[in-house]
Amino acid sequence: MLKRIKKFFITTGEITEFSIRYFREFLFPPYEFQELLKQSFLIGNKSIGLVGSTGFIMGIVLTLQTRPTLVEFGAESWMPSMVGIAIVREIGPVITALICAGKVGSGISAELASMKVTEQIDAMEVSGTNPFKYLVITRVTAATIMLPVLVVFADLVSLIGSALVEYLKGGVTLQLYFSKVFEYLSYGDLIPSIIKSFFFGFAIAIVSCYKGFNSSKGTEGVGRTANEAVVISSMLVFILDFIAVLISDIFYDL
Amino acid sequence: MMTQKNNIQTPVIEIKDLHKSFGNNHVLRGFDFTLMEGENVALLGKSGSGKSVLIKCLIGLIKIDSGQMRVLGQSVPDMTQKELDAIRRDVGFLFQGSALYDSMSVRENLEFPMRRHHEKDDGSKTLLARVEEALDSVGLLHTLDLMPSELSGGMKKRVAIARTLILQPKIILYDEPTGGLDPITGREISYLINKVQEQYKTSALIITHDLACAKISTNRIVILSEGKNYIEGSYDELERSSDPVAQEFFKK
Repeated sequence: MLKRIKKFFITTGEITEFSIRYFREFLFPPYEFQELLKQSFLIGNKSIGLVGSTGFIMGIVLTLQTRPTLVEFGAESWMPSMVGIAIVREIGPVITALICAGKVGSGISAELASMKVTEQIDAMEVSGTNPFKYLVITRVTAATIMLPVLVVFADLVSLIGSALVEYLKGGVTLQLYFSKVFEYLSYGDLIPSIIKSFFFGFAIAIVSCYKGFNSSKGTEGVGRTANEAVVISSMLVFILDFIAVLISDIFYDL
Repeated sequence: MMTQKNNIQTPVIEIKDLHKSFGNNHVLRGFDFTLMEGENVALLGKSGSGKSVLIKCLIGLIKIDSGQMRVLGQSVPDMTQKELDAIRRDVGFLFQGSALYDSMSVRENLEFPMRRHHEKDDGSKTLLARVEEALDSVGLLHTLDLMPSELSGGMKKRVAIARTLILQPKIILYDEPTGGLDPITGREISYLINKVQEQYKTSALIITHDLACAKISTNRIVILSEGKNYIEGSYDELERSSDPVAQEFFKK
């Protein structure tokens, strides 16, 4: 038990150190713009299908599950605003971040771990390239930029799913549904959600890169590294979400 | 012994009293070694004796504990990152598992070191022409657009050799060039190492367990034992030696 606690603190310290190194190296040239663009495209392109379909299903499920209760109280007209706020504030960012932790996080950590095991990272260094800049800075930055984009996309698709249910069950037109959604949505809902998405993207990628970059124990370690990266980054998403909700709550009270 | 005055060679690698430990494991304990220009030297040693550590120290991938280590006249431990990057242009490194970038094609693998060292198309040769020339020298021009996953172990080694040659280094460090290959492919790689030396006038330090490779492609063999340069000589000298450590390697 004591050993586990010690390992937890050591890992936390090392991830913090890794993050500090990210900010230190991020500021100074050379800048790997081409690799950053490639990684941004890969992260966005690889996840958009999964994020879209999951978001669509979440919108449908949320509306179907909530509808009977609202109908019971005669409050079905509140459906668009309630679902809209729930999706934009909470469900969209968290579900998207969890999908990215599974898909992008495991991909990054397995790729870097495999590069480490097969000495590709050493080969890169021998070729006069700073592997931290080329592999870590680009991936972390790309994930930090792309996650909010994916969240906005997931929110939209989710609302379309919800609107579809409302149209089929309640005869509410898309136009009416979205005008109701935007009537009650404010920047106070959208901005905190976007801001926390940046943090989710950063946390997922930095943990995955840290795990991949420090992988050991040969090919067996690659699978373990990917698994640990997904577990830790998913946990971090919830912790960050909790902190974000606490902070935004302070602003709502003002 | 007579020396030819008109054939004075300069040392390209000089190592004196090199020490390196990992915790309580003292891998290198006062290793001394010199590689002369145009020479191919094999470094033999048991697994875990520190051979790979030694060549990684030479290229600055691992920091040494104490001792002197000069590559092309420059002290490696005292180099800044910029100086290390510059010296790495002149020192090629063939990794044990080839270390080709999985996400890049063969062409991109070869172009990568040139782009990183800001080499551009010049009037006489484009980057692609240089890639083709290097691939041609290892007999794999047809693999230009293939991915590493589509290559066999021997082909990967050849492409990796082409990648080390692309910047026309003065020294090449080979880490187990024939490791994991069948004897026939291993022999082909050994002859290729000779061909590279003749064509590109390189010096080479070859880490190997393969005596056939050591016999074919080197002028001198050094045996690393207990962290030191235990014994050295030509293949024939060591094969005839009565030294028990040398006998361990050479007994049939």
